[in-house]
Amino acid sequence: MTKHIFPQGALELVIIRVLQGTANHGWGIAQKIHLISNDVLKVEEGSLYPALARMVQKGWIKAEWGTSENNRRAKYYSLTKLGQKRLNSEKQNWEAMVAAIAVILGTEC
Amino acid sequence: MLTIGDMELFHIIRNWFANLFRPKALHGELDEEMEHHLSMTIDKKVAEGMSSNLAKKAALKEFGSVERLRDECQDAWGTRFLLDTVSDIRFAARQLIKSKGYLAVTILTIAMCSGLNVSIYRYVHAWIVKPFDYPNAEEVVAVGKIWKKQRNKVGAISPLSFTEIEREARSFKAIGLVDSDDNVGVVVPNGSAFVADVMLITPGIWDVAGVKPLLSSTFTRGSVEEGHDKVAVIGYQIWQSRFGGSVNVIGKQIRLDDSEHTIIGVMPDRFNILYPNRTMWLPRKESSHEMKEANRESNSHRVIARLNEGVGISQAQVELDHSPLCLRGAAFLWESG
Repeated sequence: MTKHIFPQGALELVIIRVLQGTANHGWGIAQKIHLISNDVLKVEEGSLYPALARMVQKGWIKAEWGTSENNRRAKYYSLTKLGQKRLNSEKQNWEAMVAAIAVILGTEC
Repeated sequence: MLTIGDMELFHIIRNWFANLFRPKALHGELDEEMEHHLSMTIDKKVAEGMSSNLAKKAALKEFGSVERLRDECQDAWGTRFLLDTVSDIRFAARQLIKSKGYLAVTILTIAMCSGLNVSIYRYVHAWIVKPFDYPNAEEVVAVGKIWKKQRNKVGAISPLSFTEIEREARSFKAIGLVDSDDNVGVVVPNGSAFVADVMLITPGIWDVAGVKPLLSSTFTRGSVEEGHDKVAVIGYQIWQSRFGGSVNVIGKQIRLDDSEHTIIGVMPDRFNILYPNRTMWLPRKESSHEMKEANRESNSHRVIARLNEGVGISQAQVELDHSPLCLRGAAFLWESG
């Protein structure tokens, strides 16, 4: 099956959604996205960690150290109230953009 | 009320300052995270039956360039620019100190270039940027809630507060609301589509701007209330690029998203209202939902007004300060446009 890389801005949106209700570390986030999308979406590590850093910087998520499944120290990310608000507004923007692109692709120019 | 963008800006600035003082700790934490990521990947591959050595090699290959990842994280933390700049300044200072003659030439060159830039800017501004010449621009003011924590910045207000000011304030000869939502529409004239930045405005904006259209007319409160609300006024650029500058553009039907609109006017070159990228203006009608008292604090739209002749900003301020509008929790202030 072809694996798709995320378009600009979509990765952050998906990470916020994955973190809704449960904190997770970077590896866990990547795995969850992979599983939920039925192996269609692949998160490159080179994109994941900079995205997480940007999101912490903006206050969408916060990070705390904890112990992971393999008994190692891991940084767990969880959603903040600001992140939840951003998800709500970005979701609407995303849906509007997808609809607009669909209109353009379906129009004869 | 703080917007999401305001809160994000606060976090970015706070974290940026915090990061400046802990670059080594940030790198250490990132290294530990990467190690954890690799160990989890290796464990998974081993559990799937791969040998430990092969699993390690495969995990490292999948992980990709660690240096690129570090660079991108530095960009996200906001520390890279500063550290690079400090490093560049140190290098430049060392080079200049080595040669005093070269230092003198450098200072002289910077001084001359600064003077030259100021002169060039004046010409560029006057001959190329050419700001639009709005009649009696000093009469145009911004009206909105004041943000005392942001240096008395005039903020947005709700459609309900706007309609009350429009109805009750006597200091303005015209007042209008600009919808702050990003409205990008797909326009389809004669079967060919293009994307336009659309601005929804109340008809009063045209009187505030005081600019006559290049062709035909704009919409008025009367015409909109009579039901002629499926109209559009277009900018000069679109008129030239999409309609070939033809005067027959007036009366043409365009489909914007799902509804048909009639072009009723073309504005002059470089005309804009608050947001320079908007190239098409449509009438905005307030909804009954917006007029509910519960939505008084939905402060998300910009309002501009034109002062009555002979009325100064301070007089208008006094009027609003002593009007019932303030008692309803809406303290308004304005600044010169």
